[in-house]
Amino acid sequence: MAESYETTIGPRTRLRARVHGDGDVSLEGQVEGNIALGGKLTVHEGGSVKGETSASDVVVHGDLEGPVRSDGTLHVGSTGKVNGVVKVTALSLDDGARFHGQVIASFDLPAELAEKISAPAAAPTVGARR
Amino acid sequence: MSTIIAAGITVEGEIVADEDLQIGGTVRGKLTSKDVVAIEAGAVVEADVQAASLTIGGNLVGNSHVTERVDLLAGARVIGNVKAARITIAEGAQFKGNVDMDV
Amino acid sequence: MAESTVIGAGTRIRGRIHGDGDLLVDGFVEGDVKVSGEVVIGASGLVGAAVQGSRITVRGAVRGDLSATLSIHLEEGARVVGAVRAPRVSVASGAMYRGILHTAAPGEPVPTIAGLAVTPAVQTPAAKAQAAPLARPAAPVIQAGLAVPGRAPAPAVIAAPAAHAVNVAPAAPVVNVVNVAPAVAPSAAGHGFSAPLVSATAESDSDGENLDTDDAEGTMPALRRGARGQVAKKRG
Repeated sequence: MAESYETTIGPRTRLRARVHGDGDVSLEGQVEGNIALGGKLTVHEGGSVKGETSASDVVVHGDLEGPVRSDGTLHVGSTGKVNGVVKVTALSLDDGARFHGQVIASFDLPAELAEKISAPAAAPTVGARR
Repeated sequence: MSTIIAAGITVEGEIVADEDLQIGGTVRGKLTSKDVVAIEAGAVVEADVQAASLTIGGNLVGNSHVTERVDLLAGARVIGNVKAARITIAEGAQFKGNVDMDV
Repeated sequence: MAESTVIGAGTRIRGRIHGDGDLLVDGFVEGDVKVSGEVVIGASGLVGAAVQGSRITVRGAVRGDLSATLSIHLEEGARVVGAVRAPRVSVASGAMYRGILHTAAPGEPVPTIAGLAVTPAVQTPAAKAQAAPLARPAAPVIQAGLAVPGRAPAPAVIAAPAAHAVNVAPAAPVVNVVNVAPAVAPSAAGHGFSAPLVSATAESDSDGENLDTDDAEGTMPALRRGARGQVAKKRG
């Protein structure tokens, strides 16, 4: 029997726990705690997360509060609500989505808009990163 | 509708469900359901369990408090006390603990 | 957008643009944009300052805060760095964005962002003046005061009918639409332009949203701690 079903937190389930592992998680209930997945996290409408989230991709149609990290995409659907600091490779937001957050992403603006960073200000940052 | 913790996923903490719970992965902490809890072959549960009924084909370390019935299937490995109205232990199940069938 | 103002590709404007009506930017605008209507920043459009309108659609690039009373749409190919605020915001896949984003009307109170370590970028006016981009090769020659009603001999690209005003702000001390020499602009000109831009940016700083998002890791303390830990391990 243990074959290809994915982890599902049902609508009438609450977790106050750390959830981690390699698979995908489909969330219709509530999780209070950190989630770290090798797979994808889908928060359905009615589902909620309060905690730090990291996953290969994150899709939010419900509520998500807390920092999000992903090497993939964070997609917030029209019923989705996100509050947190978000560091993802790609972000997409459907019209109607509610979002209060900081989006951290690394990409270059066209050269005309590129900011010239003065050397003294840049020095400590560079040092810390290396 | 039910909750499924698939193999490969670990939950450390407390699960409170008002629906069925199917566990193929790992759960550490506390597990409460008003319906059926199924611990599948290969699953690892290190938690106290409260449920209406409990089926165990995998590993359970912890005490269980079940209002209806507990079934230990062949291959089950249970360490802990079981309190339940009814209990079945299949041939091939391993069990270490006390049974309290509170009549 | 029947009677919209168009800043054509190849046109560069230094100075504020404000007025009623819609605006399409396919060129390069370096001053604040504030119109009552819709603003579309086309795929070739570049804006290096704040943009306000009822609806803002971005397909090009913006460094500056976007604020709209109705909606903001970042479409595929858009590259935006700055705060974004409108009741409805969409970000298409293929759009790139970083900054503080609130789906809320301008002025509406917003919830605090969970886990946000606010480290307001303390930038001196001098630093901002330095940061202001100076040179862009091959910009067209457009004279100052061009868009002011009554003096609108508009060479091709600025399509505003004189009555349908998108004006260059009369208040700004050094407002002009200029010819930028292909070579590096003299520093005197740089100071002249920077002054009004700096004051405008300083205003938007005061609402606390204009963070230096380039320092990405600095704003996620947990992550930074993690990174440091790794570094420490390697060194130890």
